[in-house]
Amino acid sequence: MNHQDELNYIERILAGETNLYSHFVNSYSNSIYSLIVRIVKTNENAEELTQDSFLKAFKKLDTFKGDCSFSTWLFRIAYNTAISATRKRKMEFPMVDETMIESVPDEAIETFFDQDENEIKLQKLEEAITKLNVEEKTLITLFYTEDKSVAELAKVLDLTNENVKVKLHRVRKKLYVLMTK
Amino acid sequence: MNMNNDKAIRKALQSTESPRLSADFNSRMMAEVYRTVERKKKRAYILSLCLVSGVSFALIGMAVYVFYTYFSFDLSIQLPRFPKMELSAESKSIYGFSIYIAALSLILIGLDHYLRHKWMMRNNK
Repeated sequence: MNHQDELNYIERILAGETNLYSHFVNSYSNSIYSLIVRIVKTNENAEELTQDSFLKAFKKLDTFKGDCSFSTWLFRIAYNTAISATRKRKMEFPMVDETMIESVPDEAIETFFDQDENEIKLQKLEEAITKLNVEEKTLITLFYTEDKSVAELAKVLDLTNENVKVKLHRVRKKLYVLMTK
Repeated sequence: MNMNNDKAIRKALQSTESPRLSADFNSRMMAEVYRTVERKKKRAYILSLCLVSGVSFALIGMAVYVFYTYFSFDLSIQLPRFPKMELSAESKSIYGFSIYIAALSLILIGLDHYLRHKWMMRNNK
């Protein structure tokens, strides 16, 4: 579905064709759920938070300006909903020394992450991903699994494009440090 | 810097894929959406009803106030003075016709409301 089709659907939903909203629910429910599970770490609240995100989006549908894709807008709502839920309970993430992250050479991570055959390395990487903070997890989830562009990520996380690029680059280095520590 | 390759990160994220939503999630979600729409309609209906009632009561209150304040209206004096209505056969038939038109209009408005409601419900399913 292209952007124009999405806008057309939204217009019709706002005009009273509520049943068309099921198209968005069917298309994005699993992606939204995956992101929320990754942020809140547990499955118990994730389904409820996914429902909250879709309901919030439906209630605010008239405020959707169409300056980004509907999924980007929806991911932003889901991200904020999940963040609010995590604020209620204290979540701890391991601290990584900034100098260690900065000292990792770019070439090292290029070659390191380009190979995906080593099972042990993949297991370590999975473990390292769980140690990232909420924003970092959101960044890599949307960038690598949802194929969101830097500009779209900037909209979801309310950052500048440059900021997203820097953060993405830093996350890769942090993963490398967490794996090799 | 080419982050688009990073095959290992992609693979790791895919293998830690979270469990999928329950099978009936989408239908439950849509049921909740319909409930939200119904609640919104009900709220709008109650609000408009309150608004109309409020305006009506305000107008009645204002009329009573104007009568008592500016026309020194006293119901015990004015009531016996009201002219008695005597309807001729001709005016009775006119009244009868007016009542018929009024009733017909009310029935048509009711029918319109019912059919519109039915149509909306069918479209929302």
